Amino acid sequence: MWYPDWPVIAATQAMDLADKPVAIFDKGAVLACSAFARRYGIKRGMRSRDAQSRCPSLHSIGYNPADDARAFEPVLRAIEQISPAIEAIRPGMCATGARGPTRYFGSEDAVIDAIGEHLLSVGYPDARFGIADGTFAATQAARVDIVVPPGGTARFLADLPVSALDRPELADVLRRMGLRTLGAFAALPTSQVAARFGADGTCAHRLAAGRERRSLAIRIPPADLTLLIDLDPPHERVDTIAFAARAHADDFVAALAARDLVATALRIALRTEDGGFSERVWRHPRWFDSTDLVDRVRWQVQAATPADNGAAVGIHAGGVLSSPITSILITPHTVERIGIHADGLWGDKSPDERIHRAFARIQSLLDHTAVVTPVRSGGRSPAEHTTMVPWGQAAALQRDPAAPWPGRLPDPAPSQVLPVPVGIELRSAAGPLLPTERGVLDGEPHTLIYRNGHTALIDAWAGPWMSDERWWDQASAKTLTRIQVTTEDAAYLLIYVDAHWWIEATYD
Amino acid sequence: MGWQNPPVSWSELERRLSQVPNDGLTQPDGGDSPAWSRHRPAYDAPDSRPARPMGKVVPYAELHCHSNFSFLDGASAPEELVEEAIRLGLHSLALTDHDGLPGVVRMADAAREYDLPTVFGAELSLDLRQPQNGIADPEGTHLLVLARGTEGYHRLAGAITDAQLAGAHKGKPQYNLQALAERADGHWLVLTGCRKGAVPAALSGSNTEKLDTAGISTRSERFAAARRELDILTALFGHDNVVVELTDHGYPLDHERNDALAILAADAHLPVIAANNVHFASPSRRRLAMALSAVRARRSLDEMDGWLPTAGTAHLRSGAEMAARFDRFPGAISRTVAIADELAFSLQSAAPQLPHLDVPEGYDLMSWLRELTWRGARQTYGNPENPTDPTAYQRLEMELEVIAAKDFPGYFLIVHDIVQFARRNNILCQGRGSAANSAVCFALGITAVDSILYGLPFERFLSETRNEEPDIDIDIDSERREEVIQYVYKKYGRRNAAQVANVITYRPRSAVRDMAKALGYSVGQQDAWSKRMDSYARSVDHAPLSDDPDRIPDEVVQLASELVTFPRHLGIHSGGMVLTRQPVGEVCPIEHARMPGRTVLQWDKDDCASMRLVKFDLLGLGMLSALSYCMDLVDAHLGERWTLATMPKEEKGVYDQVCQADTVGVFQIESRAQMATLPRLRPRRFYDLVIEIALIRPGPIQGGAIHPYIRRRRGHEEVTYQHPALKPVLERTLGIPLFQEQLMQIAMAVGGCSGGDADLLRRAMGSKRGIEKIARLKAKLYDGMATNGITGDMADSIYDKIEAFANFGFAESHSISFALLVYASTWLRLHYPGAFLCSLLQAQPMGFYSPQSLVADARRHGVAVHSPDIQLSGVHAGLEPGDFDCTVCPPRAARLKPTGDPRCIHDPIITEGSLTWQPDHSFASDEHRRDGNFAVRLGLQSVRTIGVEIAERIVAEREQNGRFASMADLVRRCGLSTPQLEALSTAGAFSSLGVDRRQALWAAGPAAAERTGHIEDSGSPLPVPELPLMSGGEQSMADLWATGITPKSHPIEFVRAQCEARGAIPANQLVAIATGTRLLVAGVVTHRQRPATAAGVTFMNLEDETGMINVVVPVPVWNRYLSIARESPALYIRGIIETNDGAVNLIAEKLEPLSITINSMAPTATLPRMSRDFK
Repeated sequence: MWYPDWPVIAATQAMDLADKPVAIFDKGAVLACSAFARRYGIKRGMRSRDAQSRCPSLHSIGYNPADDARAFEPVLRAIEQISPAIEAIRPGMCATGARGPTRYFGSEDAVIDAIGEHLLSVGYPDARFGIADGTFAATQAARVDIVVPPGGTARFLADLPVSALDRPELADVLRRMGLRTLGAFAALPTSQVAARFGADGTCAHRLAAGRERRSLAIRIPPADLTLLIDLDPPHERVDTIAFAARAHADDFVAALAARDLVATALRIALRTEDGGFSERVWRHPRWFDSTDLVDRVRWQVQAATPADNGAAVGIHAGGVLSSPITSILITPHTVERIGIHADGLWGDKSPDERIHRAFARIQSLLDHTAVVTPVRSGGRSPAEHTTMVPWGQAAALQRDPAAPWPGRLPDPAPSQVLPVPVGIELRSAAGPLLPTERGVLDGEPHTLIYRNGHTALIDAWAGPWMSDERWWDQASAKTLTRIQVTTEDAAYLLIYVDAHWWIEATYD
Repeated sequence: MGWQNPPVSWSELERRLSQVPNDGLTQPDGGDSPAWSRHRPAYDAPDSRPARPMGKVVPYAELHCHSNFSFLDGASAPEELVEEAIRLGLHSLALTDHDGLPGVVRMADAAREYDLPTVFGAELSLDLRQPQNGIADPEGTHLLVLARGTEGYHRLAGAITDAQLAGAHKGKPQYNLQALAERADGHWLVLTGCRKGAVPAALSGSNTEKLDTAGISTRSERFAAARRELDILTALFGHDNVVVELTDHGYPLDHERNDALAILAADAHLPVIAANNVHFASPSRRRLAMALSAVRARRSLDEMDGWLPTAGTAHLRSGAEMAARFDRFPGAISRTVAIADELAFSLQSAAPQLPHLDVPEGYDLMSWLRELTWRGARQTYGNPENPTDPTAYQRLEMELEVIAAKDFPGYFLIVHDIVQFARRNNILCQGRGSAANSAVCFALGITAVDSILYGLPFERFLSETRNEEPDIDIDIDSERREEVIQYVYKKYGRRNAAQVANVITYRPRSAVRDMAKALGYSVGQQDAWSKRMDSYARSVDHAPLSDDPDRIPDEVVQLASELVTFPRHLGIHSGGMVLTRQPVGEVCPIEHARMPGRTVLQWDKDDCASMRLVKFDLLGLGMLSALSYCMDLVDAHLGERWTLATMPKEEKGVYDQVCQADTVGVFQIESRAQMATLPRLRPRRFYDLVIEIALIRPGPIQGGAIHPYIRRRRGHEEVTYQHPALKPVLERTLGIPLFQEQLMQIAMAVGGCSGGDADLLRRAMGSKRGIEKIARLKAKLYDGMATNGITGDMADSIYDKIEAFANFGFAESHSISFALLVYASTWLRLHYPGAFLCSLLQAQPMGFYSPQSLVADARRHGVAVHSPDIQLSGVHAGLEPGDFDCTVCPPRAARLKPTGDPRCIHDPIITEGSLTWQPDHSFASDEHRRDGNFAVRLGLQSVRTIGVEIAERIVAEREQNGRFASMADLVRRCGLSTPQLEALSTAGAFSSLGVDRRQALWAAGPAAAERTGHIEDSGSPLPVPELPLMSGGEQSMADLWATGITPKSHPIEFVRAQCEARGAIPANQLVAIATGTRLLVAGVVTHRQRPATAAGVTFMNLEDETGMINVVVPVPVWNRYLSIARESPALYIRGIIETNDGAVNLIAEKLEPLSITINSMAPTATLPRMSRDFK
């Protein structure tokens, strides 16, 4: 069985990229591309640079072999249900013995129909099939979607070009010798081929002649450490989902423990009735026990559902789930030997277990984001100097704290950064005060007028400090000017942005 | 010589020249001749000439200012900075680029226009460990040095030169503070500099700004460290030569630092000044400056965010703005004015002189030049008492007088010396340029153009009225140019000779690429978008199609259009050398070039010219290499030795061939556009070739516009002059101005302009700036014309012509030198087509055609070409007897009798400049062929995977130890790999061993296992299985794969039957078909071209076994057949034939792929691509 453009199918499952040019890149070259991309002349093996050059609007996706293989897993499982002994040749292509199933289904075409229909029913249409004597020949047959009758393999192969051997250098020499088809190559005496082309040449010669020796390397289904929880009927409420997860969590942890393993990172995937999907990797400062696991499921549901389901503020990442959840798939992402994580005799460096328990408890009661740790980060505004990272989640800093960030405010830092800036009017003795293009104010700061109409005279001020930030990125661009002012009873950091002055932060 | 895209369109130009309305296509220019070079005009004020502000200003001089010659750091050109300084009313301006003075000439030129006093200096980067490109925050300490007058300037240039050369890498100068101080000796003023200056850096604890390292030292410790740094500066450079610099860019820490610096200064009794560390002229350049810093650091803006100067206030500020910022530091502003007054000087006063020359005892420069001229003249023109040409000596005397009056003898002597060196060493060279076409230069052997014979008046090239340095470029055999350059270095010394820089500037392509990179787009996207830019365009034109998903994003276009024309880095100019009396490095810093072992000035040729440095252009010319190889081959095999000077002049056969556009491989007139003009122009004498070169403008020719000169030349139009005074100027070009020189002569002849005025007018018009200046000159011109009785419409029409042609005409002096090479290459090709082919193949890559097309053309001229052979081939293609027994004679040294008519050489038929040639004129080149007893054998180097080095190894081994006995023998003696043996086998290089290609290919496997030390042929002899026999087509394909050349046949021959069945017309029959006929042609695509801004029209060349076909693909047709047009190696094209005076074009309507996939396809699945696309 062969899926044309499998890596594209695998990588775009969760994306809406139909009718868009898509290419999967591996080591600087195109590994696979969508039919739409082929219209631009993009093809397998082309340098990624050339592909992007032919089609600048190309959606470029880096190849991830693990994801690719993982995505192929359901297909393999589906086929195993019909014909248990299969060889996964590579993601998107597999082979199985045809004789057994043929006896069962009555004919080869019936086998193909059966597998095809089964795949269709689990959401994988458009597979291609080929049957022939030997994997190589069957692979070639699948490319043209035909069944080669028993004993007809050599004849089928004879007309194929030597490039089908997937040995470019050999094919090149053969063509120069005038041998352009597998048949012409196969007709050479084996002994002479061996003398001229060596062992690999002999092997290719055998393939070309349809005399493949290798038998299938049957896949032994992997020990299934993943946990798939089907929710039937689909669940809507966070608590019922968590409850369903709890029922399986102990088994999951125990299955790992039976292999002397613990999970330090998990991948949790949620699917909803209407095809919504949320996937996320969770890390643990130590390792996951069953309670932790249930908490993570709960948090992810909370984070990915509209905020009106609960009081907590969600982190709306990974797509919003807006309909009942049908399945939860939990996969160990990183596992380690259990020994590493056994408590040392006098404890170890990881956070105190009790602290961790307490925080995790709060998180499980409220929300994953309810307990956060401040981490120092780079940036120019006071708010950017720290990034809040949910407890137990690996910090991924966007702003390098080691860079100098010219324009960054020096110490002392403001004592409070307002969560939402408060609008204020800043005036000179003559009227409203604005920053000019040349980096100064068009007058002396004199008065502040608060939103409630109260005014305050300015004692002293510093600045203005203009900053034109991230103008290359529409989403985060901001052009602003800051000043510090003090009044009789307060000190503020003011910011001029979007044609208004705001209080950004206050000093005690 | 200068040439730029014209400010008027071609059709407009044509209309003005021909004075008839023209509705022809608008076809801008492609300029595909090597002589079109870019030339920066002298500075002209922009139309909105900046003016000083009205009323009083706060006097202020900016003393710390970077231009865009602080490469990828500054974001404004020196000229822009000067203009902005004027607008802001600055008292004076300093230029302080990083580690060099590359922008000073431009700055000085612009400042002179406004009488703005200039201070020159540089910011030196101390303690660099490596070049800083690619690093987010460049390391090192900065020292800001300002020169006190010319003496300080020379010392600074010298110090930078020493440091740049000591650094051993481009971009990594190596200074020693102690040595700098000694060098300065009181002639420099040192500022404490920006945040990277030693003092401010110490004050900030170097890296206080970095969050992680804050607080490593206490404030007082840092203060003490800064004080130590300041003490070091005053101790080294002297207390009176150090000033503390305060900078306020509007960052939160600026105030605090300035306060600390002021305290340090007060404690040390040093003055403080305010400066703005300027990096661009006005706030509008802020984002470009950030984008540039990302390019410099080789990362995207996103990755660079943490280092970006987001305040963007490093622009020029007025005195009032600075005074407001620095009101806490009294005197900091006014002091800058006093310092500028003390330091400023005019850069021109630093110009050097020519080097000393040795002349024999008793002579001075002029009398020695006179002596050398007489010596040469005696050989050419005979005894002065009885000369062969009565005017010769009179003319020479006149020229020498001009040379003496202009004081140029030294210049001529230096060129003479260089040419003599080349001659002694048998290096082919030829002078070119305004002075090169003088009789003196001919007598001195600098040029082979005898201006007396061709009647070229001297005044055209060097006159007393023109205030210009003499201009002689020397074109040299490109393979041997390096020897000449090394000679010049040796003769004048490394310190007194240097190569000028070529300022690599941003063109639309590179600008789009770098800005897309900064904005974070992928390399492929950068490729795609930059490819859409025309490589010759001057601006980033962009017609946004909002629904095109692949369009260039607006922000890329925006930034790129700002960036275009910015200097990116310094390269080496192709051959300009400057010679000076004092060390060059003290006039202009010298630095390392990227190429190892090369050093280069920081000024380009225009800077050098502006500074009156005398420059010699030693240019490599591939055609001279080819001519040199050809002359050597002819000498070796036929015993005939030719030089440029001894070839028979004005031979009729040469012009006959040129008229037929039979010029593949000939210098300058070989491209399709050039060929198209030949049957129209019908050159019959040397000067016609000179004109042809000036006329070669593919744009108008392809567009079907017929140049008015051609109309007159062909007698379709009467030759008239608008005024009798114009006749002497325009007579030689039939009343149509063609050359730059003529425009100036027009202005002088009828407008009463001086030579200098005329030159100024031309430049002013060309640059489209400086309205005022033009207006002044225009008034003068009209006055002059009025005194000659030219007024009203006629005056306007003459002015119109001058304006239309300004900066557009080709220089006649250069055309003349090139015309000689055109003649010489055509002459050699006519008489020795075999040797000429060998020479072109050896001189590759060069010219318009691929080796395959060159071979096909030679084959059509009766030259037999053989595949490379392991026993018979040299490294490069060579001649061997046409009928020889390869077992007996060593072919490479064979000498045989010439063929053809001996009169060709001894008494050729000479053209008389008549127009008698007609398109149906029969002409047989066979009568002229002298190497007819020889065939061409391709060189081993031509075989894929072999290359020159391995070919040399094989040939040397064979010459030393005899022929190879077998493949195994070859491997044992030369050590080749399996792929190399396979490639040689495929090329048929073993046929002299009696092994056919496929047998050889089979045997290549075991043969490659042979090694020295093994018993010979110890590998078991391999029985070769029966392999299919090769068809002719397969052999051709194998040749194509192995060498890119099919020596025996053309690929189209193998599909001729199929083409005939479809009714395709062979190339050589097209000329006989009536214009307007719709027909089908078939051929291999050899070129796809889209000349600069040709409105998108693509020109394609097809080739079949009978010749070439010019195809014009209009935009809609190209777009309809896009992928076929772009990808197919061979095509059927249906279209309409357009014949015009013997020039044939096919206007394409429909394109179809022609698949050559009959059973001839080995080794590739399809015909390999053979086309030269969009070069």
